[in-house]
Amino acid sequence: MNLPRFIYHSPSSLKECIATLADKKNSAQVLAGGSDLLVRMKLRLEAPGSLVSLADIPTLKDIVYRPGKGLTIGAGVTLSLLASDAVIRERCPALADAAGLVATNQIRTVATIGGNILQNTRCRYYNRSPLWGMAVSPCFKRNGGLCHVVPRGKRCFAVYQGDLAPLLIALNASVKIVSKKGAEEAPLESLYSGDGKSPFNNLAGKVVEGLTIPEGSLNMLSAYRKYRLRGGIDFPLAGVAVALKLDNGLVQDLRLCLTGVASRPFTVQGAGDAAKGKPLGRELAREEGKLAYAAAHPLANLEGDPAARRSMIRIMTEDILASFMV
Amino acid sequence: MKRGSAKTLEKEKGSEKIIALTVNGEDHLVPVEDRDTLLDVLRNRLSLTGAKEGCGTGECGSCTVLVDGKPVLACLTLAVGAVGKEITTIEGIAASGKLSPLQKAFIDHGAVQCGFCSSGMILSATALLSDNAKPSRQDIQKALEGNLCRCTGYNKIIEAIESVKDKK
Repeated sequence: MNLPRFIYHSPSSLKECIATLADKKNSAQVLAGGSDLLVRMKLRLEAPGSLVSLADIPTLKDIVYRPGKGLTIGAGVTLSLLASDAVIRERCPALADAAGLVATNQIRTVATIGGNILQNTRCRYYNRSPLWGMAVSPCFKRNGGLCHVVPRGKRCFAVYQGDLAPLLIALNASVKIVSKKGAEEAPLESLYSGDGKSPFNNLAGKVVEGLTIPEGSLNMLSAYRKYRLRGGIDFPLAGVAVALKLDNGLVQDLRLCLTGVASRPFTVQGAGDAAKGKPLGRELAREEGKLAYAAAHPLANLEGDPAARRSMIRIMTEDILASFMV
Repeated sequence: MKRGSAKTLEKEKGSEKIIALTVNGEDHLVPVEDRDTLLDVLRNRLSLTGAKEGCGTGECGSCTVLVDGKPVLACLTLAVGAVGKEITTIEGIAASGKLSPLQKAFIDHGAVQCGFCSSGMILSATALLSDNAKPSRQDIQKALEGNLCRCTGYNKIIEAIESVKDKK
């Protein structure tokens, strides 16, 4: 299967990279590991005029822990390194575990944390071959004017299925975004628009340099659970991430974020307030499971049955909280 | 394409550049387009047809090759991005025509039927055994999660890998 034609750039510094992106003669797109973008290009869902590779920028591959400041991970760190790195394993084992659940061994070798958080939304009516596309009227995401999943829908409902973003959001991570104007730090959550067609707020000409998990979050209990049909390869049909802070057995802070159920990583509002001051136990797990279930509205746009995916959200939420009780 | 139009021909063909690739320990100068995948170059330019194209979209693992000792999907790797790296294909595993212990074990255990997935399976397993000489059955399953086989049912493949592990 051929890729559409493009011009390949491989800058050796972030500055050079920004300059190349700013040169708008061709529609330039950032290329990280390529395991998401190149597939969509092969399916002719995207055809950028040029690709700017991040592979030769060494500063994007750093993993640094600064006491008091937190854990900073370069956007170019591969998922296999994330899953095995000693610093990540020690400071944030849940993130290492979540990285090991993404896709396959071969993909984790090249795919990066930056590429994973910026993974495009997916839908059974979008991630298809051009031939398949000819048989069905184009939906919003294929630049048409309808949604096959929600026939009277006014927007695209393609699903965000990244594995790492929900955990990183639950851990209050921030991203460093570099553009021509300089660098800015923003909450990771602010990257996502919530629209399936263009899932990210304006990132044109910008590069995510890295992420920071604050020190306060590194002391929290955290975990990510993933529901999929096979034990490997698959994207999450539903996923739950929980970060929990206990004080003398009572919940001080609880953050709950879902994936695979909306067009963005979905933070369950009120999960923390409902838990504050309560002891960690079966009752709390059930209550949080109900809250997550009520907040999740998966649609029939992925392989699994939406009702089963919704139930799995409740079950996985309870399961994570039960694992913290041991 | 319009007949006889050199300009159209160039547009259709795209512009090529010469890159140096190190495959199985040998340096090759190959003309490539930016859009060519490593799989295109291995199969069509270097006639190394051991890596197969199954799905072409990163799901089946039949195009698995080793880049700097790590398994990657050649169908999702740009050839221009593989410059300066050590690429190993199934042809490079059998040193001077002698099968590697893993290849031999695949034959001995009947872990090959149609053979389409075998090169990818063997390369994924080679990478696993070089990192972890004594992997558990679960480690083997995890390492092979990105290699689909539609004939053998995986058990014989896992047994073949376990037999090599036991000899180490």
